[in-house]
Amino acid sequence: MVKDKIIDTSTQTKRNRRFVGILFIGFVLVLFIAGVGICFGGPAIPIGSVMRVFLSHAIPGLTFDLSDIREVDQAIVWLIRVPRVLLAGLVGAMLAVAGVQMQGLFRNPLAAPGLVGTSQGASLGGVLAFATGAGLVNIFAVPMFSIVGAFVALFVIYMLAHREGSTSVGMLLLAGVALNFLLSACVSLVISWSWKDYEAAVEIVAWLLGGFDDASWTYAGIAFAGFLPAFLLSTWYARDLDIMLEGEESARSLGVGTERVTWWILLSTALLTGVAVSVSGVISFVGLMIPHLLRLLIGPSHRTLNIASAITGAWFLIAADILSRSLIRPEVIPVGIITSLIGAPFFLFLLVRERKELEIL
Amino acid sequence: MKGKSTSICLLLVLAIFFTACGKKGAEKNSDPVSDSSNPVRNSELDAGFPRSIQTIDGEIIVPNKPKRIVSQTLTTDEILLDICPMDRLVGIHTVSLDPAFSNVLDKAEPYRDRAVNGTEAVISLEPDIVFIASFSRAEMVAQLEAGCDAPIVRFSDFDSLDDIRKNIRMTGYLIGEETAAEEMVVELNRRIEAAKSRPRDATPPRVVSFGPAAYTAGDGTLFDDILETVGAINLSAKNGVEQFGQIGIEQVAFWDPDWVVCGSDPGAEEATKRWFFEHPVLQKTRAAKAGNLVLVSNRLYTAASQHTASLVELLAETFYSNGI
Repeated sequence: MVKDKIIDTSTQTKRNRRFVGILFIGFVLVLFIAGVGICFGGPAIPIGSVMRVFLSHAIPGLTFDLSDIREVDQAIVWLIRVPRVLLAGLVGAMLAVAGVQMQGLFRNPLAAPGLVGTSQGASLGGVLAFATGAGLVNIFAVPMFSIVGAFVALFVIYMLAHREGSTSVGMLLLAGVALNFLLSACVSLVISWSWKDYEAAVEIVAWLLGGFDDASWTYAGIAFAGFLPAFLLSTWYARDLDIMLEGEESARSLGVGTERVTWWILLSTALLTGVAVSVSGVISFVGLMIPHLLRLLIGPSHRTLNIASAITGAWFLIAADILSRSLIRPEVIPVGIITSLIGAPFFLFLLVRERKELEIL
Repeated sequence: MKGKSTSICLLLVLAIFFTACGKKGAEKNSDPVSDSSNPVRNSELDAGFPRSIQTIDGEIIVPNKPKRIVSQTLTTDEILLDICPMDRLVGIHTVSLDPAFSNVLDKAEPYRDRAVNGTEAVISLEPDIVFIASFSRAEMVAQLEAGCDAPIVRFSDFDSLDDIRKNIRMTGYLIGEETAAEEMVVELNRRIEAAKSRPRDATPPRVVSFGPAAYTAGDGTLFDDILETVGAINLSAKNGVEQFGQIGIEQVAFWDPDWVVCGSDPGAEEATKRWFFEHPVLQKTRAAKAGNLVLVSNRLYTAASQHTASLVELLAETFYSNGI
């Protein structure tokens, strides 16, 4: 017993050290990769010019002579690159934290943020915004439609899984699978109707592939406004989620209001995925890969997982976005393709690694 | 006895055979489109046939002058509706009646009951030649070959004005209407030459094709050839984009083009203009400052037939409207 406690303490110490290391390296990587993204993430603007434009906007009171820099280059740096890097970081953080919530709630390390249909709901909302033409007219149309889509999906799934005062996690999972198929079919239906308007259809397909080409300060603001409350909410309930890992009965016996926790976790996940999809389209695997990897390194505590996942998701997606703009310059590869190209082999690796457990099932 | 039975069987087989032939012939004769009973007309029709061409699918042989032509691509619809007599064009693609894509709405209207889409519908028309799209799947080709015993023609090059000329000539040659096809090419050339001979500015306009979906036409595209023809510089091609590629707004802004050409759906023109002129970065480009956004209807933008001449004329006229 004492030996077990010693091992537990030593494991915990190791995990704490790793958490601090991941946090430190994560911060450094976020700053470094964001800097690379702003300086080199697109067409070649001299680094000195980029720095002058950035600093003169970012630090109040600091002014540089920008007269030798083309107006269009100044706009590229401050109105595209900086918000783009911020947006990529925020979306990466959102998806990774949403992944932590889903993997915790379903007690399944292979659960992804879109498991309960919120991601597909957001996709359907966004696709409808394009198909109706609202996406071309109003900058807020796609985000609004997407967020509404995510919450409608959440509402439907919750209604289906909620019976007599309790929510069955198994029912959530099964209903989520069915709802995902249904919403996916609806997305396909809208696309097939949209081919009458060629441009709208091409836009929908391009948006669904995921990316940050539409990045702006407005979108970065929307992402931050979605991330902050959802992150705080998920961190607030992190300890309860830790206890729920032992099973709902045990959690209830320890005084955890499992129903309340499930609802708030679902709500924060819907907010995270809905907002992420609304500003960037569908980006796969970040929410699956990052939390899973970090859980192996720092253990299952959701509070530390949330923070570490947010930081790791941020630098990972900023890096993926730089790759998407650099691999076949001047063309771009949608970020969703880059993350899937990295994520799918990783997922297969997980399956192979955990084959033994799956065979038991 | 045995010989008698054999003779009876032989007679029966022959009777069934001739009945079937007669029925088929009667069915065809009931269609005024394909009156094959006139020997004089038949000899006229078949002059110069069989004919053959090389395509990506190998050698295509057309044994007789086609009398039941079916087209399953918008490009060949647009060509055939101009050069082929109505009685021989028994099927066109439904897309020819779609205002979003078709440049031949009026001409296609009389063919509304012959507008089809799909293998089964094509086979039911009993064609003696079928024109299909370059992107048609192998299964469709195999099904058509098995189902209608007609040459299946697939044009695959649509990347230059020369390709358009070649496709028009080839279509005319295969259906025995080479004179009409040649006249079409002559008219196409005349319009292109007229557009080319417009007075130009000393500095060639720097142009990029771009829209909300972020796709651009680069090197090796028909659009690139059109820009070269009218003396403009295609910035996407110049900067290494091959065929069609996705580029970001940042890239377009960095190139700072004089003109942006954008495909547009009917009714979406105002929204596309707002998107371009109100975008915080695009509005700082030379093109936006000078109001140089060229909105081209997608039916013209995606055309790869004689109607492409209209796009050549439109761009030349737009770029050089204030030319010297």
